[in-house]
Amino acid sequence: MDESVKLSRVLEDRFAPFDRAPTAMLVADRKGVIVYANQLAAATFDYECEELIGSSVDVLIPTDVRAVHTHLRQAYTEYPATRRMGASRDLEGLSRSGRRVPVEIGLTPLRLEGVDLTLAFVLDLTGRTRQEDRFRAVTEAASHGLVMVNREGTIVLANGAACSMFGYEKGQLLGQTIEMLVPRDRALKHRVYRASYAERTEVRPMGFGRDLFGKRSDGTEFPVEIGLMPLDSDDGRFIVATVIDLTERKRIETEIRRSNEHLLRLNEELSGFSYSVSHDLKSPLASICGLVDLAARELAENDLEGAAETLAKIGERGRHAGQLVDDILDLARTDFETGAVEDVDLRATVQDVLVSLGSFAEQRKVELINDVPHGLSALSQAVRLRQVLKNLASNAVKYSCDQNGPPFARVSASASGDRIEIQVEDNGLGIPADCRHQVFGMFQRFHPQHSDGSGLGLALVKKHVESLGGTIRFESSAQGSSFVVAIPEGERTEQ
Amino acid sequence: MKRVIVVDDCEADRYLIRRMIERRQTDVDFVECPDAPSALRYFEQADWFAQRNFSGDKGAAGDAPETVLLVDINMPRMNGFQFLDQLQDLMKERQVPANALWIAVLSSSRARQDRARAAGMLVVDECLAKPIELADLDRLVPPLNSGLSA
Repeated sequence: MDESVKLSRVLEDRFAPFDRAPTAMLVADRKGVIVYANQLAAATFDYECEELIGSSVDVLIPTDVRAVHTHLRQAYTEYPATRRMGASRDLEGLSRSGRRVPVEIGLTPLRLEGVDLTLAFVLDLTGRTRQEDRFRAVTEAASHGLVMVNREGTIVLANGAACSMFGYEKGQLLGQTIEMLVPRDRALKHRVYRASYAERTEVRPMGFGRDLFGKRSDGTEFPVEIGLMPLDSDDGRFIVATVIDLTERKRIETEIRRSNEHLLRLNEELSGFSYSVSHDLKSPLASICGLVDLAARELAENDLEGAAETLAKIGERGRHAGQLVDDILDLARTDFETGAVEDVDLRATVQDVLVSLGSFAEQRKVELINDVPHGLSALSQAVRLRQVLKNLASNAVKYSCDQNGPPFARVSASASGDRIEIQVEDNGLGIPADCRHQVFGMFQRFHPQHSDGSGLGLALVKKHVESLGGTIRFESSAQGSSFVVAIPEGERTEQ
Repeated sequence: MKRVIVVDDCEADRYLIRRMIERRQTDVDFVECPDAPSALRYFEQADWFAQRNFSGDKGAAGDAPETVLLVDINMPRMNGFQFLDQLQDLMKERQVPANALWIAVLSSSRARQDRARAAGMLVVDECLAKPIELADLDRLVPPLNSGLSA
């Protein structure tokens, strides 16, 4: 009987119980010829058992590694031992259709009928790899950054989100130390923290109560939130860190805080407003009620002279109340004023305003001076600008006095950078030193003997100036006041 | 002689009180101050407090107080509260008892914060809403002949 026939009989005999074994098994001789394959082994590579027996193992090996495999196989036959094949390398087999099959292979030397053989146990990893792929896909899809490090702090996994967050190309982070993502001044401490965490097992947020920062590839830092989770596997302990970029959140937080402060301020302003309204708006009404009662009694007693005087007071208070309501409405309307922003010729606007104040100024013997040079213009809403100028100029007239020489109110202007500065000055009473901080507040009156105004004029001016994207400042002394409004400049025209 | 001192920046309101008192033909010394600083100057006159005898317990035996001070709360620059703070200091400095004056604060608003603040001030005896009523005046400055007051 032929040696090989005898051998195959023995193999059939010995291996019959393994034909349907749940582990794929192959037996090859020293030349690499397959002498036995059980059903699962054949099925793993899409063959029938009969087809494989007699073929070279090469048919199961991807062409690109076939040559290497031949060498390795020969080496193995010289020093046969029971071992895992391709330790620490990813092994792949080749199916009949050319599909690469991820496998794990265990080798055992075998001697039958005086022939040296090799028994290979083949474990199809397709399923497991699919799971790994799924894991990788999930990791990649995560919007949070995921970074996994080993005990030594070496990065073994970093998903796309983590890479782009820290400014690295995909794969650039692998094998690097995790400290390259930590700001330099905190890297040393981080090393210590990391080492101690590696000994623990709890899932926890990192840097509890501290603001954490990550370091990008360009060295810039950004706020992060980090969660830590230990992960134990066959290959030892790993730490998985989820990283959330807080830049946007912090920005929104700041924005919310800012708008909150703004709302608080508005609220304060509003409650101050309602307090003032309850005083200032009710005060003329209370006077009128009292005066009406008085007038009625005076009339009842035929005190016509007294009644006439009382009625005159009623009229005065009534007009004052009307003016107050107008001013409050003006102030409320400043938010809704929607004139077009356009080039406004300054000299002409100032001239209009001064002309409108002409009779008032004449009555108070105040000289109005327009010192605005020709050709200057402001990029502004004409209605607002006119209101500003009118209020300032009429204040200058209202609070004039003759202690500082013949009273005047002068408007001048100059360009300064991309702004126009308009100055309204007078040589009047000035604003008392102890009141200067309240100048732009509502219902502030500093010279009650000189005027029964509403105390809203400068509050209105300030609101208008701010709406025009400008600023207002003032200087005041017993020699007079000077208000300077700075607003965006318009097109200059050559004269 | 009875004395009524009004501190109010509103001319019409001072006029109203002045007229109401005048019409009662009561012998009252009426003092008007158009703002808080001028009222302070009035009290600071060296002899103002010294001239007076403060032994009388105000409110005792139903007697109306000798000197009534009416202070408007809402005044520019120095409001009624700020004025009363300073007046209180002045009275302490001159060792004038807190009950030397009957002090009423006047307000046209019913703002709660004003009432609370007034209640917290030792020298303030009452809060009156504007316009001041004839009944208030009758109580503070009883008419000589009640038949004339109507």
